[in-house]
Amino acid sequence: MIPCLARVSVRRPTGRSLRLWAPVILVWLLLTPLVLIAAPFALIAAVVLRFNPFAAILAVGRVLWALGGMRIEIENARTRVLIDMI
Amino acid sequence: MNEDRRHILSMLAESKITADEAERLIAALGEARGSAPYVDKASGAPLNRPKYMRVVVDANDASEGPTKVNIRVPMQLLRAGVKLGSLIPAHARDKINDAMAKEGIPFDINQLKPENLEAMVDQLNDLTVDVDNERAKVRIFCE
Repeated sequence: MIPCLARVSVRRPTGRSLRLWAPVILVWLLLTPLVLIAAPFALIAAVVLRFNPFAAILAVGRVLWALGGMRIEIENARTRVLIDMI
Repeated sequence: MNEDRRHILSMLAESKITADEAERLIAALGEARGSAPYVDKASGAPLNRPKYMRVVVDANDASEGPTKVNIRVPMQLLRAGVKLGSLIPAHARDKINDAMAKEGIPFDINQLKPENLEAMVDQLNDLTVDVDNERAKVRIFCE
């Protein structure tokens, strides 16, 4: 399932909390320039380490594609962290 | 047992098709019906494929107090993750094999194909890990 929204919620020991709802497509678009900058280095790494860069892109794409439904929730008396891919 | 499956098995019994062909036909039959050929081995009844792997930890730490961890990982993500293993370069695989041999584990990572790993992920439906002691309770299961 393709994730549409990423929900991040953090409650700090001070009692303050941060809630963030981010559209995943927007995050991907914002990260695109960084990916373009990193691409030549990744290509060099692929040549040096002798792995197929296209297979790597496909595998990473599959992982990102499958993130929908993932939920990580950690809570104790002082803090709470929630990451939810919706 | 449905009619098509019975027909395939009767063709197998009459040696009109081989066991491999019968397996492929039954698998294709399951896919054509929109469900994977994922059946209970004992009863032959169709099973629901697990969608998520859950890790639930309920710990009671003396300093931090009660801590709860709840992780839900889509099975699709596990399948995508195991495919990343095929990207391990050949020389790194050799190093892994050497390191494992040094530890006395005669294991060849080259024999571990993505298909094997996918089959393993498919069988996780039956996996339940329960660890329970006075300080923590851990449950790993699929749903």
